[in-house]
Amino acid sequence: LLEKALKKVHQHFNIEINGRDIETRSGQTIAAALIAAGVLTFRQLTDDEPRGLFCGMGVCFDCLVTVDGIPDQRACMTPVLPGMKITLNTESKPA
Amino acid sequence: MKTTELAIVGAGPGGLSAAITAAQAGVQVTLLDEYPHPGGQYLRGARQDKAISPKTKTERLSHSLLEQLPSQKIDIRTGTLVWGIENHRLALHSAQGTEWLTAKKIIIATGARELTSPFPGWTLPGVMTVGAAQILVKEHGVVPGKRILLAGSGPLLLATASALSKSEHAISILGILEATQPLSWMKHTLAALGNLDRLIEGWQYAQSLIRNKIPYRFGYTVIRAEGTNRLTSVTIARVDRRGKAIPGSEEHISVDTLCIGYGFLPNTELTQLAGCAHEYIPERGGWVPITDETLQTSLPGIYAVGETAGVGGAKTAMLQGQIAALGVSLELGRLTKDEFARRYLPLTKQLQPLKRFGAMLNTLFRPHPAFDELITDETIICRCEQVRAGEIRQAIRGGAHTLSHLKNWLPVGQGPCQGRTCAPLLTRLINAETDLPSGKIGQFRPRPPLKPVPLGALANSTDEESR
Repeated sequence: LLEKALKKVHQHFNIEINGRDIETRSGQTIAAALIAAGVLTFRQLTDDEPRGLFCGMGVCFDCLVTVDGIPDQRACMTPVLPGMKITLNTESKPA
Repeated sequence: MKTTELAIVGAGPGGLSAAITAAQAGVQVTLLDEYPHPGGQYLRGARQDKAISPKTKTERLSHSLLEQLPSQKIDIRTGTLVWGIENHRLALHSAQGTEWLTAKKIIIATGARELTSPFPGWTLPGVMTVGAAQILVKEHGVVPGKRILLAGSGPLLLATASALSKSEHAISILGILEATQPLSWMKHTLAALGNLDRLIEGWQYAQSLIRNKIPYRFGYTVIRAEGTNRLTSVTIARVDRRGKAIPGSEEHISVDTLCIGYGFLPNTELTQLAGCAHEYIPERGGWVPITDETLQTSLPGIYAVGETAGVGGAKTAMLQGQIAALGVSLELGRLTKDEFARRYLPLTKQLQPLKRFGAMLNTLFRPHPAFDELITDETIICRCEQVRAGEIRQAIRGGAHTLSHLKNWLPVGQGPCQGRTCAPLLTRLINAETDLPSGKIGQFRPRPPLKPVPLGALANSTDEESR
């Protein structure tokens, strides 16, 4: 019953992560949507420095992603919107 | 340029209670918060999850503030970052762009951030603060992984494990590693006894651990996190009463999520940038602005309440919010001296036992100084610029004994987080090498914009200034 009630409150829609569609719902942050989809690594500082969600409250700037072409947005602070295109900078850069 | 009588920065329990108290006294209030919704960290998830009923008195009180908010005459500006302050002018940034707000009085209620303790591998995806895990599960209904271990010190570990165990997802919570020993808790019994509702809250968490068979291990800590692209395992060890890892006690555990936390630190970037005088008080969680009996800082008209003025929890924050709002209302002539005194005295009385409890949390559950030995030279300390403990220790031995001095030698604190994460860790390393007290090591000097703001927005704001 609770599940049904929550479904009514939340709109479900897709966002695009590196060209792949994932389902999410209104009110979630990009970080929550990524982790729900099993994506833990949000970016790669160097070959051996992958980073994901750390502080979860907008302090540490570890979870930076590109949102609709705008780089360095905090995934933990940015709410998802229908049709949003997220690019993860997980291409390894030279150390 | 816009003006208001009272600007409140931060809409957590402290900011909310200040806003409502002042608005009811007839003060024109603008309430600002970086998040899309009011409530702060404490009330995150409260909005979504109406089914979860508040249990403690503090929870009920703070929820009722959130419910009262829409009916108040308050200009609520969520999704608005305050990135600068100059005298009584605040620099704001939101989706609408950048603007300035001038206020006769300003209450700063910017809350706290989590204190962590570094170890090799703590930058791997899958290692996160307990707060991050709590937000995921409580606000978003998402679990951070399937095999979860919690480690650090203090009640937030219990609260998070309890929240995770209530999730409908199939997960195993492998345990909680509490770094302190129960014996060290004994001397704080008196402080705890004066705070019955906090004890009941703790007991409720403990019951939920027992019900869910979650092991709670005293005197254990994580010494290493392992994995290539993400966390796959951790090595833990037992620590003795002096905080030293006991050789041979290491255990290897396969996990995909490690949640770490050692309590909170006041967010003082805005009070620092404003120019308020600060002092280092370990019992309040570290550097705090100096405040008087109505929470006014060293700068007239600028107040600091809640965690910003000293980590003490939501109840303290709500009481302080009311006190500061009464002070503001008195100064603006909306309250008589008698009315002020009548309402002020009972509030300060309630603060006394809370102060002792906060002091206990802020000293008992901190990382033991001996844990520094677990920080190998390869361990990253500044996560933004990837500066490692070895280089930092070298700089300290070379004479860099303050944070600002270290910043001249190394790129620490120069990344986007402006040193919010590494400042307490660098302070620890200087403590360990020099025996200097933290108060002498100083703080990083915050710079505007306090958090990155698009360059275009900054250019526009200066345009407006020169006009």
